[in-house]
Amino acid sequence: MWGKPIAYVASSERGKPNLTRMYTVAGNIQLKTLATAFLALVLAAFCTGGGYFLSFELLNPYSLEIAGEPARSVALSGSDFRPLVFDEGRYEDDSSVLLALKNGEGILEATVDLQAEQLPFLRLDVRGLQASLNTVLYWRVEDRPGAVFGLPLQQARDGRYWFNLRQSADWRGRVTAVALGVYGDVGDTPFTLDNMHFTPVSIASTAAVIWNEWTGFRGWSHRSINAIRGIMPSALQYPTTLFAAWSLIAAIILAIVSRITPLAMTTAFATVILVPWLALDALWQLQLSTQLARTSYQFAGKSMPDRHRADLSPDLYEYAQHLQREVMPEVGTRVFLLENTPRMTYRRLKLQYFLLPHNIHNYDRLPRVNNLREGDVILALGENPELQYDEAAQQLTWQTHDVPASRLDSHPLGSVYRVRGAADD
Amino acid sequence: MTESVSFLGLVTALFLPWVMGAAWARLLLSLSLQAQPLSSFSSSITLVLGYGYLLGVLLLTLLMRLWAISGLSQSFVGIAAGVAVLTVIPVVLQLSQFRAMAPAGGGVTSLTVLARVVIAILALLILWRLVTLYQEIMLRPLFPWDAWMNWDPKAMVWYHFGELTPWVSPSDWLKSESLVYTAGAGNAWRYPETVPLLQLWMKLGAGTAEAPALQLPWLLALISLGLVVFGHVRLLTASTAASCVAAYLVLSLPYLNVHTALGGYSDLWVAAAFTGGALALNVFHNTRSLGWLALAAAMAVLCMTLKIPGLVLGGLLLGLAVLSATGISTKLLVGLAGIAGVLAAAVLVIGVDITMPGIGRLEISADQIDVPYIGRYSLNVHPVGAAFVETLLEMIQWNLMWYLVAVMLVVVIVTRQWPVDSLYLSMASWLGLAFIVAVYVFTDRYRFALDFTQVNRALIYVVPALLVTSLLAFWRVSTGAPDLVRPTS
Repeated sequence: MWGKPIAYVASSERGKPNLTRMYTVAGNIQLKTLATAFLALVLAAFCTGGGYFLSFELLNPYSLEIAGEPARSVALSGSDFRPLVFDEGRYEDDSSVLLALKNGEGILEATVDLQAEQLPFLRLDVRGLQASLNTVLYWRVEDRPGAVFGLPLQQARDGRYWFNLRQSADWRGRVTAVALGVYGDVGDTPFTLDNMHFTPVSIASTAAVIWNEWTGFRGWSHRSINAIRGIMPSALQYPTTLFAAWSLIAAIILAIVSRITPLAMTTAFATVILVPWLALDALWQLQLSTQLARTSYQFAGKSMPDRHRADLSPDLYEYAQHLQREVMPEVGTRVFLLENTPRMTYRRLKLQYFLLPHNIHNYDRLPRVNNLREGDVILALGENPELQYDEAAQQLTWQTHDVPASRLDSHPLGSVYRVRGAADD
Repeated sequence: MTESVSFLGLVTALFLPWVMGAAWARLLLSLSLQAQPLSSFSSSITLVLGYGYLLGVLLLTLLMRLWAISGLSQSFVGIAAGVAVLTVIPVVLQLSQFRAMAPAGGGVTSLTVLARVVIAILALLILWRLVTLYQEIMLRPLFPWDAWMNWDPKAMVWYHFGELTPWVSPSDWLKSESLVYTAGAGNAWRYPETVPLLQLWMKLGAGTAEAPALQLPWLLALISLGLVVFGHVRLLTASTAASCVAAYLVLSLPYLNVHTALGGYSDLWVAAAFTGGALALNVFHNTRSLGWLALAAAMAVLCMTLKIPGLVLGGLLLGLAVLSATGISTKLLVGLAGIAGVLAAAVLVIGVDITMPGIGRLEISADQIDVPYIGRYSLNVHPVGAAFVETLLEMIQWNLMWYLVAVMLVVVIVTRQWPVDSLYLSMASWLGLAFIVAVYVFTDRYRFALDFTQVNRALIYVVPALLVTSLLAFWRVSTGAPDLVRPTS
């Protein structure tokens, strides 16, 4: 396998080497090694999975805290739900179908009576899920009337999904109503809710939830550049540790087998490292491919301005465009960016970027008089009750200070002023 | 700030520095042929291309700095002409020896069917990953936080003015009478400028201040890293399949993929430069070829011009290069390491406080450390163990790499198969890791390990080199007699 098959047989040959025979013997050893390695992986998979679920059943906190009789699943069909928010929809057999959402929102609600602690897992059968849609589970509980709790359901394709509702600390108490919120654009493909099951802990349901947590879509966030968990923070099990155990157990099995029969050790150990690595990489590729579909839906075929409008802060981009076109003075003028927030918040930093190449100091909540010069521009983002503009006196005032200034622009997102003279303390 | 993209300019900006760097890399590697022929055409071509882009970026950004010092405006045509001239020089110097790096055996014909299958599968997986990353890059506006807060703004401003307008601290900005800029984050004004210069080059070439395609150099950085790893493992093991495995393992690391898909940070570049430097240094130690020494030094300089921690990592590479150049024996090396450890402990206990004219103050004590250009940090032992376990062994970002590293470390110690032929690669990798771990265990930066905002962006620097170190250890232990490059003198 590794380009040196002759090395495994050369020492046992005498006299002039018969290369054909040597390659045949080497090939046989390689095949035997590969077969053994894959068998070791299969055996190790059973050991890893069995050990995990055996310990999970014994130790998992969900089972232990449930007293009394074993819980039974609560099954709801799509037709058990009534539409609360929608534009167009219908029932088809036992399913609820949303043909059009109302302002990008659709909510289907059903009345239930279930004990949350006994039924921590949700099974959902849906169709019509696409990159443009997000779903959220909502619920009400008996002892907190008026409160509505929610949990985003990470998914991206049609099919059956399993979720661990204990990701939310609010999944507790007697649940009296559940609802599925659908957000985005259904386009030409109707969204269909076929079934919703609330199930207790079992090996099968736990395995299904874990698999869904490993394969469920999470998407880029601003934290992605710092760390990639591969699962939600409150998920049941990291895949990495189980895959490592799988690889390690397979390697131990191979080490034992190699004492009984000769193996090509490089091939053997490389296989039990590479196969789990490939399996974990497949999970990662699934994330990347799903993300690519989402990214493509969001940005493909759009101009650069339209991509910004389709991105995280379109309002901020539009505001920056307005300032660039109609308000900002010549590039190079000193601009103080103020907001009633800490300096390193997203909106003030992103506005600073959108306004480049203007010369902006991401400053403070309020100006300081000794730093201001005539001609400087003050860009106040958002509301700040301490910073006021006196239109009649043409002055910007804050605390005990005032400074002569012209208001260049007033906008729902902020105001822009130009300092006209020295400040008074 | 949005104009249409010039396709020709974009392609030129992407590939002209690569061609220049490849020409220089080939010249440097041809020097090594005097000492040790490269084992095959596949390793030589991948090394030339892999080092080529990294070297190209270094030379390009040095040229842009010279351009600024000379008072010339940053014009694409002018700088491109300079790059073209710098490309011609190594080509002319090599005209007489173009056949020197021809295939030297070990090609595809000697591969088994199984090896070919493995290579084909891994090559397809690598291709799939690169195509996915390419598509993601080409669709998304600049996304990661520090990219639009700290790195790209400099390039935006320079692009507008056509010159390297100074960036100063926020307090100096307030006092300055001339045109100066300051960055969103407090310290970003003093970050090394190779990444924003590269971003400026891409903007100049594409003729626009922003477009997703401007992040394509990050994809080329990843490809270069993969080529360098492939070439070196091919050089050290003479196995194409093993080289493919190594390249695949590095290129498939999720955290490296994220830093490619969401390009704009400098960390991936530091990782590529440090890995390239450590591997080149290792071959230099084995062959004594000055070409490899020059490559290692160039990669060290690249590290130092990319990011502040790169000063330490580049310094580490240069220090090890000096150590190797002295021809010191392994036993003496171990002895010196012991003495250095004792001295370091003594310095911490006794303390050092030196003011160096023109450089700054060096202060080291058991409580704090103050190093010129790096910063001042108080020293304590912080509880970051659980965070390290989670980030290294549980999160998916490093796949199974750290398990492999841990197992191979134990195996090497138990079997006493010391990495004699990859000694300097191992030293660079482990010392680099020790530096990073020490920063997060002993300094105030431990907070960034606990919340995972920074620790992985530091670990990425040494991860590829450490992974290759572990793979070579695996190769050595499992085969018993690796075909590693030996010194000829």
